[in-house]
Amino acid sequence: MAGGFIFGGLLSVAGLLLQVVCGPVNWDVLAWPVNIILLLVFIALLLAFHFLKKKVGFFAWMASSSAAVPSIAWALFLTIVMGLTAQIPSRGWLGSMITFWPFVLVYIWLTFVVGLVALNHLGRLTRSWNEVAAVLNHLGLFVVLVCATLGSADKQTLDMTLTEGGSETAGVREDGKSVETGLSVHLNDFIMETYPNGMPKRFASDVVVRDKSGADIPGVIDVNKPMKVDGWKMYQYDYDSEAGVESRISVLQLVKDPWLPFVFAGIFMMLAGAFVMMIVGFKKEEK
Amino acid sequence: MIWEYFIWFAAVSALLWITGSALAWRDRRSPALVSYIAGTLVFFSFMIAMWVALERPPMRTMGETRLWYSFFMAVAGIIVYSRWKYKWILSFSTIMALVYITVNLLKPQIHTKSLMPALQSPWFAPHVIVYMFSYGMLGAATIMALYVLIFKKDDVTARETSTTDNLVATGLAFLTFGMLFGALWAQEAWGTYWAWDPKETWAAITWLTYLLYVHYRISRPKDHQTAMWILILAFICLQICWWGINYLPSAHATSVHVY
Repeated sequence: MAGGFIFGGLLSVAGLLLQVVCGPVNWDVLAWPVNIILLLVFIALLLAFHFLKKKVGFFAWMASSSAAVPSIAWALFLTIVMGLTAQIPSRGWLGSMITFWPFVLVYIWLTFVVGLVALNHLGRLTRSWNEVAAVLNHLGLFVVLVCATLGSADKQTLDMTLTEGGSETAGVREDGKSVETGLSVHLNDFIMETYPNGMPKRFASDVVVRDKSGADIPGVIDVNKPMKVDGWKMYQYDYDSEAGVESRISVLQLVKDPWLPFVFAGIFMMLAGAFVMMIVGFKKEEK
Repeated sequence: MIWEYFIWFAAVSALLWITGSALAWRDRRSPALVSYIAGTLVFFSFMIAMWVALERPPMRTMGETRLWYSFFMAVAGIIVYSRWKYKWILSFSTIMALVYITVNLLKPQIHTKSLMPALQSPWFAPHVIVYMFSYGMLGAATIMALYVLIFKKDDVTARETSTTDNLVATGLAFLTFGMLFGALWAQEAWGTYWAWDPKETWAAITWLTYLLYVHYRISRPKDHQTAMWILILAFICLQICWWGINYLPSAHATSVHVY
């Protein structure tokens, strides 16, 4: 196990060197098709490790609990650093842990170990319910980590500002660039209700959305009740908070995340795995 | 205001819990359980009354989540006592529950009927209840860890470690439910299932620490001391995630979860 802690240390040092030489991780380069190529390479590596583990000691070690414990511990340590430092990129390396190379490398290592352990348990799936739980937990987490990370560059998030009676076709990206959505959104009415103490009770947008085919789709978009058109999910995001109830402006957020179904598949596997673990407990097979 | 009645419900519950704990020490198992369960039901009836009076789930303020924590600490005590019969467990779960009740009495909060739109979701109640049940089970696991570290340095029994493992397994399963329900909810509310908001970061930290315990137990089954210390660390992370985050400067600047 000591070797694992040293391995994590070496990864972190390598990460620091990368940070100095290349600067912070630029997630945008992962945009399609780079992410799918990386995914295939990653899976090929996993399979190579898995099927050659009897020949190469290091490969077998990677899938053992002696690698699992240090990889979790290193990920834990760096995540605690993240939790203790305000995540504001202008404050230097630690202000942006998700682009900090040691953090990213350690999480890639963790993901790799999780993938190998999933493959190991997959081979013993029919032995016991513990194995079923182990497969669901590890494979689910692997799918979530991989798809969330590789898919992040393909995710589009646009803010669309609407005025009552007006229509809008474009949204604004986080970097300020305007992007056409292919939709035309018309705001009939911005709905706002408050509690007697003035706190917002409800804010929503009564809209008509013209989709690509030219069909008009009416709908009301509430907080927690998004509307889906042509692969875009439209969320009630903001309004003119100074005007409050009198606001004639509504801000929607439009999100398109092609990798989301895979992330959700992973999440549901983890939920199922947690359910099985709740029933059978863990590590009973060692008795 | 419904809150004015809290002290009376809490007093009756405390009395029944203390009676139950005392009976457990004398090995009067059935009366102990009856008294303890009665105390828990009295406490729960206040939570239901509050739910009805507020016309919303009593889960919005920190004080309201503390109610659920005290309740689930008592529930965890009942589960552990009826299943593993440790006569000291009810005393500890009572102390834990009373600590958070005392905080609620000394630091009462304003419990209005208003519920901001982001919290008006079918995910709200399951997300909080599942988390608080998990916190209760993991609180009981912390009690086991303290007991082992303080009283059972060299002669830990298999029964004690297996109790701890089972509590962590159940607690971790519900911790996973809570975290993933939160992710599914965030996706519905904001279009982002995970944003590394400080609350989410600390939820991940807590989750990873319990994962560390589980994997350490598999890797080094005989090293109980380290395993129990990991549980203490995990408990601290859990408390930071739950309420400590409100006092962290790093979180105050950026979190949507400070409440």
